[in-house]
Amino acid sequence: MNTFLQLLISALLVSSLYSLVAVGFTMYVGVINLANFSHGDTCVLGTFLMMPLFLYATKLGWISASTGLVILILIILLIFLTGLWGAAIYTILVKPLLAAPRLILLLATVAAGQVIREAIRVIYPNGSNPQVFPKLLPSGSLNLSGITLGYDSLTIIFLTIICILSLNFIIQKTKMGVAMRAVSQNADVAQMMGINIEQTIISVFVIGSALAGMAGILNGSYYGITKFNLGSNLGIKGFSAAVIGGLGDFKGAIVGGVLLGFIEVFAAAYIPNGSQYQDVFSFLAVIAFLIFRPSGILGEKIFEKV
Amino acid sequence: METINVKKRKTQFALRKLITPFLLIIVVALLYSIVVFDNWLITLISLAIGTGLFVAYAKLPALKTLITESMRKDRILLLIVGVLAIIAVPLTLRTQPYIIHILIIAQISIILALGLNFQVGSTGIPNLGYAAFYGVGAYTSALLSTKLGVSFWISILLAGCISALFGWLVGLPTLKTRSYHMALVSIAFGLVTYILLNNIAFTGGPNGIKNVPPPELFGKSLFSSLRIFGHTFPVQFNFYYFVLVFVLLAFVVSRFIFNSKVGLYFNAVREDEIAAKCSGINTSTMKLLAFSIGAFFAGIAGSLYAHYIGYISPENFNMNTSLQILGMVIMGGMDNIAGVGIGAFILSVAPEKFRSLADFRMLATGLIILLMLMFRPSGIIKQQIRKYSSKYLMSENSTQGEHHG
Amino acid sequence: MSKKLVYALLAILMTVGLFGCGPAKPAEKQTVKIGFIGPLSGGGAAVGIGAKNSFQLKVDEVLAAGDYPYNVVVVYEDDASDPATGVAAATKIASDPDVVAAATHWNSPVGLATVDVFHKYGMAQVFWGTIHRDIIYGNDYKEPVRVIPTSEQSMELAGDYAKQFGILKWVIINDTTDYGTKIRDEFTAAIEKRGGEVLEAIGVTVGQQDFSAALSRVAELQPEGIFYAGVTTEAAGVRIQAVKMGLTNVLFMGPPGIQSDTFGEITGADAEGTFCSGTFDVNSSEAGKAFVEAYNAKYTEPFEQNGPYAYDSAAIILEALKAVGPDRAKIVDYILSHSYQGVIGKIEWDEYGQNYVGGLTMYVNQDQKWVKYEDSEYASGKRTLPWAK
Repeated sequence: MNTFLQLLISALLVSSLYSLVAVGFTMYVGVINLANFSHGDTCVLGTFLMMPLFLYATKLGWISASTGLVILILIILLIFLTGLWGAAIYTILVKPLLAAPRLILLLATVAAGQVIREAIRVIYPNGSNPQVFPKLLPSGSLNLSGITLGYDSLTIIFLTIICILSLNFIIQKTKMGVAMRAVSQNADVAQMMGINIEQTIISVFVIGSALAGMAGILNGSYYGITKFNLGSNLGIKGFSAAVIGGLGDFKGAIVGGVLLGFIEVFAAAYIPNGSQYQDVFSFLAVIAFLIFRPSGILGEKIFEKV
Repeated sequence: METINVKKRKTQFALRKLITPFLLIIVVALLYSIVVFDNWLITLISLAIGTGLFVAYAKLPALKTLITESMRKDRILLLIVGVLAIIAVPLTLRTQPYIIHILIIAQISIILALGLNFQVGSTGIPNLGYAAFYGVGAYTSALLSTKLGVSFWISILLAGCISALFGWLVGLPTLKTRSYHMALVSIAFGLVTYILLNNIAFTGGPNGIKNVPPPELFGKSLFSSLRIFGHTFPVQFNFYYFVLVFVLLAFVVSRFIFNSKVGLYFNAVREDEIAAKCSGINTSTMKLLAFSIGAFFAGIAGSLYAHYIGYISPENFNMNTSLQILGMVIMGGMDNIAGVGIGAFILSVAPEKFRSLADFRMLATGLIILLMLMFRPSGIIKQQIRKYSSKYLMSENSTQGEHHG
Repeated sequence: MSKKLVYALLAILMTVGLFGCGPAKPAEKQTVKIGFIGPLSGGGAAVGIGAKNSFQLKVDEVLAAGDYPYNVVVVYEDDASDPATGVAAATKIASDPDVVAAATHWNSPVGLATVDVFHKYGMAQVFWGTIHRDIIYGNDYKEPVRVIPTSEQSMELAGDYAKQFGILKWVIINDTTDYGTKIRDEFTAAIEKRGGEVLEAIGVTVGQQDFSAALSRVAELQPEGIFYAGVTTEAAGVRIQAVKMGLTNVLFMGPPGIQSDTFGEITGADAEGTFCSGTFDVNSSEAGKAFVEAYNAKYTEPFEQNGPYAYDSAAIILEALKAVGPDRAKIVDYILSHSYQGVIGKIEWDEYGQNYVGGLTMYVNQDQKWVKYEDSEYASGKRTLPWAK
């Protein structure tokens, strides 16, 4: 029973990270029908932007003084930076290729991911090797009758829930959210109704990338390391989660992320010899979904527009 | 008046005649200096000159027509010199087996890129896990010949077929889904294959398979050095010509398919699937066919690699390899057979020439793909426009096209 | 038509001729080339560059002495830890008639791929890295010899200490690379030989981040020791998450693959009291100390674990070259039939060309650094290990 609960917490943690990445994927597909394969690398870019910031803050002596507040400011700054990066990706890469066949755009995002990864590796000192990531989250743990609850895991789960709730608020209640929903339903009609499509798409990229950056630094500070190529795996998992949940649907991404996290952790634990096939299970789940329910759990049936 | 014009025309005609040989000299000299010299500066300068000439060719319409015209006129000459050069190159490199080795790897890459071109280029389905098919072929062939002692010729055939079977299976989920789903499925397939190859003891796990025997030809192993006129030729020499046969076959088959109805149907699926369906094309069959043929090519290439190097391990068939091959197709020109060949050649030779810059290899590949997609999505050589003469349009069962290169 | 053909052929011949001949250099001492291949780019670059520098250091030292009969130039090639790139590099070096011998590779798959290439060209190949058994024992070639001891010996050492500590119930977590699986098998053998028991070996993949599934299984099995068979990054992850799951009263040990200070940096306080059955401790001998001093005076990059082995590889090649001259076959025979005094001790080959000395050392992590166990505060009793009996 204890093992089960311990695994449950791990699964929730992994789910949180996957959900945060998946939300961006699903939103891009929603507004411009694009799977952005450089999304996972945005997470890693976030960690590699965070490290110099943190070092600088330490150098200035801020970290020891009022650590919690400084870290919060750093995280907010980082979310801002990765959001900016999202806007840049849209303006530089996606927008010029919107008129091209989708295959070209898709391959371009794959290449962009590769360029981000390799640029980090080449530019960052000793970038090929894993980097020690600062511990931004509170350390220590709670011991509840044999189950160890790390404060860091709790913080991550808590922060994820906050992010998701506020995103939900944005989408449901604000004007920007209405615009996003309108564009994802029918861009042409939305434009006729006076919605600024360009601005809406940019805001989607900003939000998606900011969440990815958040996922990246949470991932980094929980596991204590970051590496230039972590993004490809994180991206593929995030995209898988979005597909399982149903592409284009914000809630679907979260459901998908949770499901994928649970499949991964529990299959690895309860299937004999499962640990070394952890990734295989999650990919098999995605392929099974694509064959039997390509629209995902919450998605509507896919039909091609004529 | 008349006579002057005639004179002018005559000199022009004479000049025209010189264009092809002149071009040939430049191209051969550039290629030779790029491939043979072990000096990255010379390679860089040659590449820069080549790029400059290419840009001039692409940007100046007059030059373009002049060159294409004269090249078309002198087709036979081009063909003869090309074939001669390809055959003669290793003879000049008797003491440099390393260069021949690079060329053999380039040849194998050409087969791979031609295979991927059926999917990404002709049919427009992304495949980001193509190296897995390459791996399936290599492992099939290596396992058959090391564990069961099957001869090379049967192994390579089975390698192609089993790889094609995997291609068909992986193609299945594409039938109902969209392009980005396919990208995901192919990545997943690539990663799962890599993990399984690493974890299964039967395939040698992470250590791979060693001592894969070389092919035998006329009862002689290709690993025995040739002696001609008192000169000993390195073993790479044998392989060069051996693999060359497969490359030529791959070109012939690719061209045949491109010109056939199937090639046309592939394009139809790429341009507009629903319209293709409405025109009575079985799009599912076409997609699966594109996958199977592409995987077959990869299987053959994998088998050649395994029997040439004699050792394979999962590392040879990872995600980076997939992206590298994708880069070759995009750089060369999607759905253009000659272009894909050139792309594969450049992207497999260049890293060897810029060894000291190895750290930038993957970055450069990524940048090339990205810049190509953004500024010249058609690749080095543009997709050919299918031209059909009225004769062919009249007869129903022939779609043989005329092409201009 | 035929005229054009002649033009074209002439052109080819001319270009071939033009580029074919280069200027010849005047020679005082005869210049001889030796080769070095290692991962100079990619994830293994730190180790490769450390080894490269150490190799060059020895060559420079020998040449600076002045009485060496040849002028030696080292040809460096990169294998990028990739077998295909490695084969190209090996072909390049081995097919160059001026190169007489080479020191090679850190990664076993690369070594397995190139051993045939060097054999084909009859060139001596001295391994300063790689641990896979078959590189040396899987063939009957004379060309390959290996300076670095096998991991089997390292695991025997681990077994000895495990027995000494009285920790005999183990769980192994191994990564699924050749390194991880090989270490797993050898450690299992070493423990079983000493009457211990490996309750289970759990595989994980390189690049994996979440080890909760594997560790929850470990918690169920209640071993006395966890052995991580793999390299630093994942080892650190396993250690951190094991502590998070409360597995603190268990001995944690790893192979030479985790003997990097990064392990302590990542795990922080959790590293305290973990063990590493590591490689040669250079500071244990006078020659070793001299090497460290000379190295640090010249280079800023650390020489990493394989520096001393690369340094000795250079010594072996240079000694053979001096003794028999630039003749590949003679060098191969000379290397295999002689023993050498290097910084790692007296290097002697068994009949296959494997060296068995090289000072294996047990390290314990103390204040985030690997310290020789015998010199540590744990051995002196100043600090206690939580699992100590």
